[in-house]
Amino acid sequence: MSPLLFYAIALVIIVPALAVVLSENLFHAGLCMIVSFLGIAAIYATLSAPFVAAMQVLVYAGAIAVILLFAFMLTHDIMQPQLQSSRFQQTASGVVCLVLAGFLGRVAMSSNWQVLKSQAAEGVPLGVLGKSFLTDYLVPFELVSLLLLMTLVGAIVIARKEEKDRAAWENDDVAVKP
Amino acid sequence: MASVRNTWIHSPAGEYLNRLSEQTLGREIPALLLMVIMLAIMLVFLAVSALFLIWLERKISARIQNRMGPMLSGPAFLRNRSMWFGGGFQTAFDAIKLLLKELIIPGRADPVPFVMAPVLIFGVSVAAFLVVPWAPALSVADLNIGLLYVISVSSLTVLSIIMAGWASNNKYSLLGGLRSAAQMLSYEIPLLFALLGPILMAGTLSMQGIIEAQRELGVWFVVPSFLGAVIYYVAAIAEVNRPPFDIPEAESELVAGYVSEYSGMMFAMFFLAEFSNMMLVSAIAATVFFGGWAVPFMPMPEQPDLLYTLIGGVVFFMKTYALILLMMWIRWTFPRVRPDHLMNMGWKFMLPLAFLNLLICAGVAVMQAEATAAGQPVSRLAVWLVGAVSLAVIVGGLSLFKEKDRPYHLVSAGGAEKKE
Amino acid sequence: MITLFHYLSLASLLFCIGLYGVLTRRNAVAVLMSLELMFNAVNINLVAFSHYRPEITGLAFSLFIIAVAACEATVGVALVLSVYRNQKDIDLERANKLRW
Repeated sequence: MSPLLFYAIALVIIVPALAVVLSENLFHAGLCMIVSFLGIAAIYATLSAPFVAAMQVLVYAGAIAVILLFAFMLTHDIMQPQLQSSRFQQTASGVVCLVLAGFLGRVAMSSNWQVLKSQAAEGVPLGVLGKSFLTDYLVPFELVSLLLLMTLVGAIVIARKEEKDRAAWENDDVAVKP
Repeated sequence: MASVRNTWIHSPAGEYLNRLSEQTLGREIPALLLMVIMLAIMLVFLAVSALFLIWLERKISARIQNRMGPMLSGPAFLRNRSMWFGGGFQTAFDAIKLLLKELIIPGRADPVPFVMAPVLIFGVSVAAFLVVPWAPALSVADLNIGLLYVISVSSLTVLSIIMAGWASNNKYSLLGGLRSAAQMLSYEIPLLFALLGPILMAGTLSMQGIIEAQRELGVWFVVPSFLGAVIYYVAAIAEVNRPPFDIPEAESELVAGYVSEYSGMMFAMFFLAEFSNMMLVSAIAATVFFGGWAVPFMPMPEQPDLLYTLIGGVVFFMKTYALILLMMWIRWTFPRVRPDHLMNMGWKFMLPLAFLNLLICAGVAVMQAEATAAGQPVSRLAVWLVGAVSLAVIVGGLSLFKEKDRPYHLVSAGGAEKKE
Repeated sequence: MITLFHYLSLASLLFCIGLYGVLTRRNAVAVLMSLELMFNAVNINLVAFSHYRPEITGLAFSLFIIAVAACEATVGVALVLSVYRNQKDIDLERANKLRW
């Protein structure tokens, strides 16, 4: 794979990510986040993981991004200016993040990762991955399914309207649904 | 599940062009140029077929409503004389009109999402057509994860609709966009589950591989998975926002929904995207459930054969267009579904039925595995019996549903629920 | 020649950008967006390792992380909506009622 392709995809990932954390307009931040997700899906495709790339597009860009955009649209107040943290907080966070990035890069460069091959041939066939979910990784698989069920129920319970508001609507005491 | 698979049908269409150019010109086409040529062919084909479908829709809706449709826009000797050729140029004239209209971007609208939304929705549609198997060895790219690729790329249309709704700076557009997003998200799940059945029976996600598996099984996947086919088709109609699920574009209710503020070519992009999405879901239904380009009782040649490829292409088109005609017929027959009925139906009715379909198809997959282990082909009688059970489940279930048992409740304006 | 180090540095850069967003942003939804960037950085790491060593663990766990991130985004949004309903504002600086 050519370095040019890698750097192009890396640019597509990093520049929108910067826009997500620095942009005033949250809708633009959400859209840039989606572009970043699609770039990450391209990285997975270059890493011979087409299934993970398809899942990334389907779940992240197709569902999580939509949830976050919905959250933004439901809580957006056009009268209020976009708030920013104090200068001190921004500088301190920037320093911390740069130091961490440098540290992680240094660790990555100087460790002996015992890479056995520089370029994998084909990638894992899907049947092997599926079988591994039901043999080696059965426990995390079942736990994740349980987690998804809990999330479904929990999110509905947390975000539901309160009892008194619903009762008032159903008894015709309120003109507008709360 | 899968025994020996014939491999020449999996080669992408680019190789066919390469071989042609080698025979005629004597050298290969460079890869980048090949990609551009395939993309150009795909775009031209999509645009032309979308235009044709728009004209077809107008004529069919006219005949269903006992009128004639566009009759005056052809050559002079055909106007008002021939039903099927009198209005032939209507779509071309509409397209020219839309091209010449001014592109208006509202003052307070967000320009970048506003302009990118129609681009994204049409781009997604074109991208999803890359794996559709038009003929043996004639899909633009036969990915190993073909069906999953189509599903995941189609899920990006939701984003485009949200962008269009929000960026228009118009509360009716926003409402239409949010409703459409909720509808499309909730119907993606029964769609996926309905497709899981044939994936189980085929043992592969590649589109050409699914067609091969149907040839091996001997029956189209619509027979064992009839329930799944019905669920897929209804969910697909909801996915492309066609009536009876067209609340987002309800002409009489929300002005025009999320496309209210669009004019000219941007509106034409949304319109084209709707029709090409309709063709996409019909093509996938034809591939997965109705055997794609496979003709019954015709053996597949071992070497690439031009005649077989052409016949396969024609058969695929016929199946796709039959399903599109069915979609148009449904449009002009049923009234619009109310949004809360729609969500109820999607989550509480179609999802459990999709699970049931998955169980039935798993049964057929087990039969296939046993037959492969024993070295014999799967008994066709058994598969047809499974299909009869599927049909009985859906017909019996629907007929047992009385007025009071519907998955939605009739709610009167006062807020009290009636459950008689 | 693209080695494992390139992917790891891309992932760590993305992680730190996401961390900056989580530490700095005052809008709760913006914090959730930056959090998703951090999840994705971890995922790139896992898939890169699974590509450069003959292992399947990276791929399997990256799929689990995608599922868990979906759950976390859902519950996070539900909480944000609940907070919004109560105090009409999702400024994280003002969500300090439990401070003492």
